[in-house]
Amino acid sequence: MTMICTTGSQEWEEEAVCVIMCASVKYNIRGPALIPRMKTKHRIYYITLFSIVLLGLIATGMFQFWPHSIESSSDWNVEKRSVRDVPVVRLPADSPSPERGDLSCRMHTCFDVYRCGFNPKNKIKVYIYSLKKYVDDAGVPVSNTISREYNELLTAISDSDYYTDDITRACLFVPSIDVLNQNTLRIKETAQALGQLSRWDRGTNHLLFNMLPGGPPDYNTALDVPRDRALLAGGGFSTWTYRQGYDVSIPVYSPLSAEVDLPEKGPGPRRYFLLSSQMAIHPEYREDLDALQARHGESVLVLDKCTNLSEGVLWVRKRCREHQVYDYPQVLQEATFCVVLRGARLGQAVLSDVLRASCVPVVIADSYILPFSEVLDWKRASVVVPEEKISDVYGILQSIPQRQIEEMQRQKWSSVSNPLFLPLIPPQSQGFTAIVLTYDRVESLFRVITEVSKVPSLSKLLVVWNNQNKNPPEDSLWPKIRVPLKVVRTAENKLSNRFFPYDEIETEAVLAIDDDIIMLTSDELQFGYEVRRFQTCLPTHLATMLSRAGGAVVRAENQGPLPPRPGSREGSTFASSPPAAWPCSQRGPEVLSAEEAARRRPYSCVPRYKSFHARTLLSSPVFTEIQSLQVQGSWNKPLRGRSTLLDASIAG
Amino acid sequence: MQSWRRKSLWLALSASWLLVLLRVFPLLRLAVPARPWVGAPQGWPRWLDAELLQSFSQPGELPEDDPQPPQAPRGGSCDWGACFDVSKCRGGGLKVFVYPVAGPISDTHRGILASIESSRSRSVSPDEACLLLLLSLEAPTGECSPVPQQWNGGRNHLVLSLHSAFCPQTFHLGQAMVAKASPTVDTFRPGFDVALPLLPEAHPLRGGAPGRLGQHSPHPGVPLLALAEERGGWRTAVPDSSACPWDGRCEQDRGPEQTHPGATLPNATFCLIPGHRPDALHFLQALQAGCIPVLLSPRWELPFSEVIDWTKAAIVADERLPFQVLAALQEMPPTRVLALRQQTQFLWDAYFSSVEKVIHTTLEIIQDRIFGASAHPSLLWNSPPGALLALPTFSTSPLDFPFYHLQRGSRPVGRFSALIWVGAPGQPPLKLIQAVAGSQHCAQILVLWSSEKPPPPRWPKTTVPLTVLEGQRKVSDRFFPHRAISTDAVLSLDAQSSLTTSEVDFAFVVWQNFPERMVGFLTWSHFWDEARGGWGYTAERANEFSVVLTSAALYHRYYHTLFTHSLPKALRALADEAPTCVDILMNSLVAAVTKLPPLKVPYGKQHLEARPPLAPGGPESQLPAQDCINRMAAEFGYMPLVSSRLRLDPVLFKDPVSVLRKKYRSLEKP
Repeated sequence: MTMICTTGSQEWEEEAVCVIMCASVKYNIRGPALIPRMKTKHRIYYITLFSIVLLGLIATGMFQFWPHSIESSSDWNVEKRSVRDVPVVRLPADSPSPERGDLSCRMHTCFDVYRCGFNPKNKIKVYIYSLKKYVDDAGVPVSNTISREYNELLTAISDSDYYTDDITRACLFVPSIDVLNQNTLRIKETAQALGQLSRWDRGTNHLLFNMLPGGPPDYNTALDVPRDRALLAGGGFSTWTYRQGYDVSIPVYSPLSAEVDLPEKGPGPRRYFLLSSQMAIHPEYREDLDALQARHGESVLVLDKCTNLSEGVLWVRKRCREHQVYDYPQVLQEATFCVVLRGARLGQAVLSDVLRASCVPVVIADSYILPFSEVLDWKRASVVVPEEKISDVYGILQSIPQRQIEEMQRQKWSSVSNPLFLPLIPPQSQGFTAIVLTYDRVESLFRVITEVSKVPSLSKLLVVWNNQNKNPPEDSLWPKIRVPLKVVRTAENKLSNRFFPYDEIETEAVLAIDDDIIMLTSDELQFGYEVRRFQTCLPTHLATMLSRAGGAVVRAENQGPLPPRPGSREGSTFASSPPAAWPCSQRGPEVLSAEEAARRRPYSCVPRYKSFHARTLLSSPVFTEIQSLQVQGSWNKPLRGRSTLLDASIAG
Repeated sequence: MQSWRRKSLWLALSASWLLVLLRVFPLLRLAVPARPWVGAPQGWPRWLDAELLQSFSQPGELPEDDPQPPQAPRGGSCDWGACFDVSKCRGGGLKVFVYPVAGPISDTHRGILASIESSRSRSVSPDEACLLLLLSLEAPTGECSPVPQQWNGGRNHLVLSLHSAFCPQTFHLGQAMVAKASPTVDTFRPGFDVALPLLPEAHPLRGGAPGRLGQHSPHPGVPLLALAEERGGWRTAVPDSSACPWDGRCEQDRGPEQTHPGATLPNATFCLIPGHRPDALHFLQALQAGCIPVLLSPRWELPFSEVIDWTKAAIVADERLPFQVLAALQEMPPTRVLALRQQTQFLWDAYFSSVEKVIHTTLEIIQDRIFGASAHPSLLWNSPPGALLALPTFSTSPLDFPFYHLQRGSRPVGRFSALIWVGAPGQPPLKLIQAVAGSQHCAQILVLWSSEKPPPPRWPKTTVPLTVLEGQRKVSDRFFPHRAISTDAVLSLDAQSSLTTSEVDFAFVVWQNFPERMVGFLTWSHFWDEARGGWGYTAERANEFSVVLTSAALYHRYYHTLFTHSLPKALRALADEAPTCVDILMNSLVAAVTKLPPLKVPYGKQHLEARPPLAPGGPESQLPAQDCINRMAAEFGYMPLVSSRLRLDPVLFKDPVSVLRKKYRSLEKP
């Protein structure tokens, strides 16, 4: 039976019938031992009934699962049609056309943010118009219906979280009219086609993608199709046409390197120092480059179109220097720097090839807006040289130190990771907040409170009462001290409660201390605070901050009460923590052991920032162990609502 | 029989039920169209012939782009490549010519001239100049300066107007770059013009007030929002602090609203600034106060937007969505608030706090454009201490500087170079050389011979290379970036210094942890002398110190470059006049850059007994020495020195454990 279940529905049915028949035939001959003896017709009846019920059950089960298996296959989900079958729209010759692009557009003038209210997952919603074929009055198509790249682009949007099929909820609208290449379309009619889109509304919130703008003879640097307020993601913007903060500059897609698999190549010196691989270079510039090659010999390679290739060789994949033939784009990997020179258009597809080959691009295209320059710092991955200086390019590149070249080759955009980067020495007047974690050792607790309250820089004392079964002592029993004292009752008995960012902590510095640390003198604590104040070994991770305790203090923990050190206690010439074992030097696996120590450490002076920031720090992979150790979900549940503040304020 | 009939009826029923189940369901499924889930998004169709679609460009269209001749500048529009002639800018430094102004010179004008003078640029004649600067100042109404002779259509000109608008009626700006305060986005030419901050009338010329941020994270109970008002005031919404400091409920009951017409600096976490141009004045106030500026659809270009990444310090929001903005601010994670707050302070201190800094930043931006490949990377502009103090002539790689190690989690590698300065007596410091050469971290020893006597021909044999450099008998020569210094760390020594190998070793380990600070053995401290009404300093041993003596100190070699190329000439001359001043100057320089005090490491008593440290000026030189610190403070515009109460010792220093367990044993010798 189980085997049957796995086959298709039609066969399954026939085989099921066969089994019923076989069963009855079998019985007629010998009679199965399993079926109790009874009248023949009754037996037949029961067997048949049993089989039918069983089959019914199986069938029901199968229908339960069947639709899901169909669902998961993608061809059921999305329509499968041919591009040739799309509906045809006839554009009358006098249909309205949008106005020319508005150069003064900015997000707050031309973009309608009110349409972007619906954005679950913090992602705006993008709608794609369905594909149509536009023809003019005479039935001549306006453009190619859609190119392969534009289809891929729209598929990518459709597969992303940004996509919506609900036009009323969309924030951005992407027309399916393909304007990637201006040469393949009729400008006026394409504009008319844009104008009749159902939500066009002067192009507000519409996004057009274009890679090859302009056409002969003047080659505009932005799409010539009148588009009114529509946003343009274009390749080859110049500073004159780019609307800062509104348009997006994109790279020109290069089919050449997309089809070729280039091996990874690490940084380091390469065979050629400078390479020019473009074929259409203005004669003036080619002269300059040839002069460079003549002057610097082997280290400069200037390639050109091949003239004598045999039949059947794809000429776009070959570049030549005199009679030597090179494979393109593989040759790019042989060079440290690759020239990306402006042609008629500013955006050159060779930039994509060069970056893929991890060759450092030398961009020689005045006024070109580099792709995604709004968010990328191109200075760190490329060299921009003015067109005027093309003959000096070799000297300019020679002056770049090798280390910088390697960083450029890696195209590594490292970022600042230190959360506290501003050197700030807080005023001493601010003082620190002491947090005493206690369970029920009231006597010892009171001694600690009395001792800590003698420290001149103490500004507030916070007692974290970790015992849920017992109430803290009466107000009148607490020691009378000169600073405000507050008691926080916690909902759960956890060691990590001491690191919760309580609102009562108003100072940057926090002293975490256990209720049994009675051997510390107020001088030692005051010094610990001073260390923290001046100590700007900036924390890069939690362990650092925990061990940032005043150094003298750490030793106290290891060796019990501090022996009196003659000469070290006058003034503040206390010895401090050792740089050899300085927390900043602890990275990698050491962090965990330090953390382990920190967990057992009876007290430490930490910045308030730590508790403030703990969630982020804990999320780094190094801290997984700590997370399981001490967090156990407590960071995620705000204690604020549950902690009851017992105001045992014994203010001085 | 009846039962049999009933049973057959049941059988028939069941059989038909099964048939219905098997037959009807597939039929039903066929009847329902191909989309069984009504709610699922339809998506872009997968075309059957997707593989057959043509590419957007014909093969060869991309590489076969028409070659185009170099473009001539387009009418009216200018950009860097088209309108600036870099051919005149060859040679070191930025060559600037400033047009003299006819008529009386105002204080502001004089200040600006002085700050151009003190910048790294060089003043030259108008014919040689790479950049011609035309200052536009508040002239009496209707009076505009005439077109200067060398105008040349404005080519290579920078028209700088700090406060006022430039007179457009007299001449067309043409190809001149415009540096003006908060230009509107429509007229601003990115990459060509320079956007300046809108400075208040009484902005300090130099020095400038420090940022007001007292602590890193916002003080609990501080109001969330301050709203910029007309006439330069701020309105803060003070929530009932106990009820909802950071909760969402605050927007309903905002509590009593307070207006501070007098107070100019807001005290809040975020400062809402409307987008109109006059409100740009509020922007700098918020920056100084450490209040994160929230700009509501600004119509003006943010200052120095070409190089400063404002996304790290300010928030640009849409004014049409006030409630979303409010909600977003309330939900902003504390880490981001922390980072934004710190960045506002850094930017204020680095680029905006004085007119001088604004002018220097403007010139630095233009210099970056000219030198292209050797310009500051964005990291240097956007992290402390800022691009004005990270000279690209030294290096453009962040790791060569002392400042970026902590941020990137790295530490300087390599060893140190000992630089021994031999002054007037001219005795070769043989004992010192042996002590330093014995250190495992020593890479080379450089002797800077500045004595009248010729250096001895023979030097002791050492394990590390020893080089003798001929000095120029000037004290400032000690901090010249000599080419021979090959390591990041420099151990500066005097011929009279005495040190042990252990001390040097330990100091180097400390320096590796704090590469941006000076690590020294002997200290002085500065103080405010009420009686004399000026600064003073003392060599007396106190609980605080702010200066480490450069006769024995470890620091990064970059400070040599800064000392020689960034410190005003007047101060360097001061060092040559009064030799004791050089310690103060070097320490001030490092403190001004890092805002941190130097570090002290242990120094054996035996040295002190053998030769007491140099007091700051004997009785005869007391006056110039004290004068030095005051002149230094005047030149900086404030007192850069920072006091510290900290000394770093090895872990087991003076601990009651076996001496054999201690790494730096000789430090504890009595």
